[in-house]
Amino acid sequence: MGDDIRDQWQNQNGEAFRMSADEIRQRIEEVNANVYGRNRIIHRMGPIMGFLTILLGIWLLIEGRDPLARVGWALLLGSFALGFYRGAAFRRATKTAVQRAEEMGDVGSVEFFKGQLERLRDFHSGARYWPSLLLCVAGVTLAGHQSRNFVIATIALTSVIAPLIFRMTRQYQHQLDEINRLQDL
Amino acid sequence: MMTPSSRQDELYEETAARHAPALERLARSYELDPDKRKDLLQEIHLALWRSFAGFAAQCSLRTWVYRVAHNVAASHVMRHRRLASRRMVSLDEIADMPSAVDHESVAGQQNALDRIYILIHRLNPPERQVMLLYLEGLDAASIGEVTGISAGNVAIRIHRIKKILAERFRQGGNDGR
Repeated sequence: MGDDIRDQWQNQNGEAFRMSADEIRQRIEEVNANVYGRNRIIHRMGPIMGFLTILLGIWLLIEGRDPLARVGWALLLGSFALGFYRGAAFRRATKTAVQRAEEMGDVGSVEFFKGQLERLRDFHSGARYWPSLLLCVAGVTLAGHQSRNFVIATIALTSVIAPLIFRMTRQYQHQLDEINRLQDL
Repeated sequence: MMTPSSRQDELYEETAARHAPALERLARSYELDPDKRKDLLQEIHLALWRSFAGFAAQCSLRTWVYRVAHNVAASHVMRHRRLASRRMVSLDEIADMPSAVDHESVAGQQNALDRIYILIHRLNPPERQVMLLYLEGLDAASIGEVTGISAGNVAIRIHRIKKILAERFRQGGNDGR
């Protein structure tokens, strides 16, 4: 039975896709140009946005009359900084498949997949994630503490988002546990 | 003396000549949407050509090709965030599922190959890789080399795959012919 199915599988009809070496070079140049263009935008916009956020934060800290709100803005700034750092670290770690091609042949496919799952899990729940979320929620709550509805809305939103992210992280971890079991057998 | 680029071209030509149909089947096993599948296939070919710059023949060309192709395909699955949104199952879970579930999901599918693709799409990526490589005719040691799982462990998985295929396709009547 198994051999019948394998024969059938290997003898599927259909035209096989292939490219010429010149087509490949051209496409790789296009991919590199796209990646370079995107990185250039990120690298130019990142410092500008950071600078503007710091200016806004300093202005709010100096001009703000409410001490609690000032603490809130300071926490929020810290949360933005941590979030930006997290995003930049994740982007560095997740290059495109074509960019990572040369290392792909040396890594077993299960190990490679496991590495990707670990990165995703850490992005959603790693050591930098929860402090960032905590700073953000505390910052928003304190910055808008004068409005009761605003505080209630912030807490309600957090209590919806946090369990969803926690659930996603558990799904990644569950898959990692299954892979570990598969490798340990 | 051969330049790195011409060596890449030569290895790519050899790969395309030998493995292009298998890569086509691999892409179909990871992506059902025809347009996205074409993108995935193109990405696999680009990655392969590029990867050959680092190919030092420490493993066979076939092992290298399958590793790169599966790694690109797994990245594709991750990028489209299907892992968190759709529950994928292991071989053990597939084996335990009542066949009625499969019959419902393949309503209208007469072809045995279509049914295999549906089965493969339900599997988590590591076991999907084992099943695909088994269907491509690789033995346990070769599958272990591609995936990084021990050959003994692969042999256990293959045993389960054979059992599942035998059960499912016997139930499907003439599908397994």
